[in-house]
Amino acid sequence: MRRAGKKTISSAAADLILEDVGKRFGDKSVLDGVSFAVPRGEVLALLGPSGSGKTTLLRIVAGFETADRGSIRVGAEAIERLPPARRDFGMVFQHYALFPHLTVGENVAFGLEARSIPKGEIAERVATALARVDLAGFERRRISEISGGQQQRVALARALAPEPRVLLLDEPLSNLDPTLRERTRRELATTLRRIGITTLLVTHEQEEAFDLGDRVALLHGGRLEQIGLPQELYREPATRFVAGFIGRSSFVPVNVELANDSGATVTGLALAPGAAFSLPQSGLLVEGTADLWLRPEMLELCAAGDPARLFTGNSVSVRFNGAMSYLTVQLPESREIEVMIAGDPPVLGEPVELKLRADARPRLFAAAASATEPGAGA
Amino acid sequence: MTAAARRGWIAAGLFLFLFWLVAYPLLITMLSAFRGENGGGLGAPIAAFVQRPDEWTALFRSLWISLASVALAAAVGVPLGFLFARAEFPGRRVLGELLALPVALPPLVGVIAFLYLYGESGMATRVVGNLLRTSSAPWRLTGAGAILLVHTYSMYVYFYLFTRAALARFDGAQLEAAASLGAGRWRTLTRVVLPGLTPALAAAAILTFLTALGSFSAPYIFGGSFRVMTTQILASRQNGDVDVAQVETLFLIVLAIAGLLVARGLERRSRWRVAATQRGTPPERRAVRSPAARFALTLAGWLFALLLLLPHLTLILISFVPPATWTTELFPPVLSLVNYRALGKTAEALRPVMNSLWMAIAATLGALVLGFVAARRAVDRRPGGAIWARSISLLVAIPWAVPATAYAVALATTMSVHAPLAGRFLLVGTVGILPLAYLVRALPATGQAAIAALGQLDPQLEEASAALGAGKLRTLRRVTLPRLRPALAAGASLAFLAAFGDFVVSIVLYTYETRPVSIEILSNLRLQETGVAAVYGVLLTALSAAAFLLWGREKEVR
Repeated sequence: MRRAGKKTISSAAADLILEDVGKRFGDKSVLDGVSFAVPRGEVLALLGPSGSGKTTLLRIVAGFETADRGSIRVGAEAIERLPPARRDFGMVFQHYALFPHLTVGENVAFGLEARSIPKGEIAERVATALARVDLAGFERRRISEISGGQQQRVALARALAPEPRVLLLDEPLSNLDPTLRERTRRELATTLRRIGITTLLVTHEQEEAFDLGDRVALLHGGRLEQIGLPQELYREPATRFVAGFIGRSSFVPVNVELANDSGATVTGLALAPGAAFSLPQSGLLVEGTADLWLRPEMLELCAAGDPARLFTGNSVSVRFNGAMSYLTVQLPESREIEVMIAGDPPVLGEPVELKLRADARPRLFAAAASATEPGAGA
Repeated sequence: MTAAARRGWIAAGLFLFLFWLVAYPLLITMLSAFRGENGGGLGAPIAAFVQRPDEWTALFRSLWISLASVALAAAVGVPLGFLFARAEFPGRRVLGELLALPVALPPLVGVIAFLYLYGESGMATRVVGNLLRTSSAPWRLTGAGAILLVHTYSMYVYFYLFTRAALARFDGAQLEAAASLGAGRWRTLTRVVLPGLTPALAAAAILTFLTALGSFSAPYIFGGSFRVMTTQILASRQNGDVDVAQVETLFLIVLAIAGLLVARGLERRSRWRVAATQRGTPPERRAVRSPAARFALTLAGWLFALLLLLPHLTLILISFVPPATWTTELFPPVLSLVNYRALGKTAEALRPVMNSLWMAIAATLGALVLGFVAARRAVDRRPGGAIWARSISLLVAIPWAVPATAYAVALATTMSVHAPLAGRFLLVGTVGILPLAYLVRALPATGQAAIAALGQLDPQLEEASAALGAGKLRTLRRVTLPRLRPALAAGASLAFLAAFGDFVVSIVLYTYETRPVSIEILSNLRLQETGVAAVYGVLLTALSAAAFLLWGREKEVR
């Protein structure tokens, strides 16, 4: 598809739709029926731990790998059989993959030349693309002469210059040192929003996904665990994995006394003796043992003997984090739970009692098979 | 057909073609060495070979000459490598470059330069004889000593370059670590530095051994009755003992491969293979402080450089000596351009130069294309391609390990029969045989360079090109080839040097119409036309040096 003349940039963007994409390497299933749609102009962040299949998925969308099954469409056009060169996508590689033998300008012009755009127009569009990433006038520089952050921006300018239908970003910030990463991330977010291009971004960093993605898709073991707004994933994790991977979490074992369509009553096990409370969570719960999921900000310290207290334990360590601190409380049977506190932490080693905040929305998940929590406290 | 299946078929086709080109002639030769096609029956040629003591003598001489060449080349090259990698003194840069010069000199030209310098009526021989006031020559440049002299002169370069390169990569922190652990200089050298150099020294030793084993020009010119395997093979062929020549070829190949395997085995058994991947900053060069030592070192360096350049200078001088003007005088009494003018007078005189040029260029281009195509398959790790990768890279390397004489005989054997169904074509005696032989000989230079460069090429660069909408051709032209350019240029310049200056393969396979410069030099020598031979030698050297300087040292853009 060739777009003629000057149109507004967002008009180049198109919907990206994946349906039931599956891939195996030998015996190992890397992707297992992944489906989602990225509406035109949206930035979707593909988040997941290493080995979750997110990079493979991106490479399949780019055309460097072929899926064993499933379809990929751009708008109405099926593209899974198109070679990468004819997909009209832009891609920023993890290590940028800038051509070291070409200048900055020649790198950015590369995709335009491949599309047989007239020479005069190329120079103009290269200048525009470089200006957009704050590198106006850098055309003649060599790649080895510019900094890592500038290389990252050249890579972005190169990918965007041909005005692709879809932009693919493979861990675009992982190669930068931490101080530069924060700033570059803000710049990238601004650029993406301004251009309004359909974007698929792969990252293993939650902060990056939340900051850059309009929506976030969490991938685990080749499956899509949840897709939604960042706050949805944070507040209403669909699976135990999502709950553990996103943000800071504690899981404590509880008894589900009564479960029906309107909710459940939880007692016992790690809870303080006699403590019980009701959860409005519906569906999928059976009576018996389950894991109660809590974020540190769902709990608060309470006075001894408070009738609403849920946990009693000993404070064992505290992590100061600016405006608030995270206090680790040891429950009976050496289980631990984390609570966020705003004021000064209590003396360590002393017994403390915890209750749920009024606005807390904890959830129940089926009891974990093993004691290790995926990504807990990450 | 799936992409993997298509890749598999393409790789299989390439494998077959390379096998036909590289391995098949050797196989045919070995088979006919067993069969005794020219009478005698099965096993007869081998039996004849085994029973002849002079064959065993030649085989043994080949072996010990090669081993002695390794020892001598190491004795000269390794200390020089240390000196130029570690010490700083006036003229180090220029001298360091000059030291690599003998490697760019075509073997036959080097040999005749030695002949003009140290031969019976050579320059140095006359000067020394005059000083000693003896009427007979003070030495005779014949036999094993002469061969070893030439070998040391041209092969120390391998040890020198490899030692220097390995020391330049050597992590200086290791020396500091050794010193902090209380190791003195000697202990550091023997326990840290030399072990770290083992891979480089082993590689230089293999290269020297194979080069010496395949060396032909020096034994041919200086050997006389002192025959080694390569000259023995040619003598047998010229006597019409085709079967015996094939058996000799077989034994020479076996010797080469045995040497290669022994060296590889030793290297593998050593514990120091990791050193090749070392990273770090090399230690500072140590400036030679004492003025006397600096002076001595510099003087020694320049004297050594003069010694290295003396053969070239002599060659140039002789090229200006008109025929039959220099008899008993110490220095040539007449110098003129007459030899050079003779070259320009007739088209026939320039013909060998033109022949060598076009054949070397054709062979280099062919080897370049084939080497690149083979390298692409040799680094292919994708399904379908991966199973062929190893065998293809092995085929590309084979001509490197097989002595040139053996190859020439194998091609002469295989391509002197017209049997298209058996993959044999009548090429001997045609224009095509020499370029083809040069191409096969050049394949390792271009192929290995391309394999190494492709192995280091970031695969994401090609993906980035595709992601930007570039098709396969554009990616090849704009990304892959520019990235490979320095390696390919270096490989091509080596290939061209070898083909352009070739004597070994040519003497077995040339026809009058395609006679190359080296053959013309030889026939002029036989006619006592030393001046004309020198002119050809100068031309060969000058064009070789030009090619080397032009393409051999391109730097990568980072």
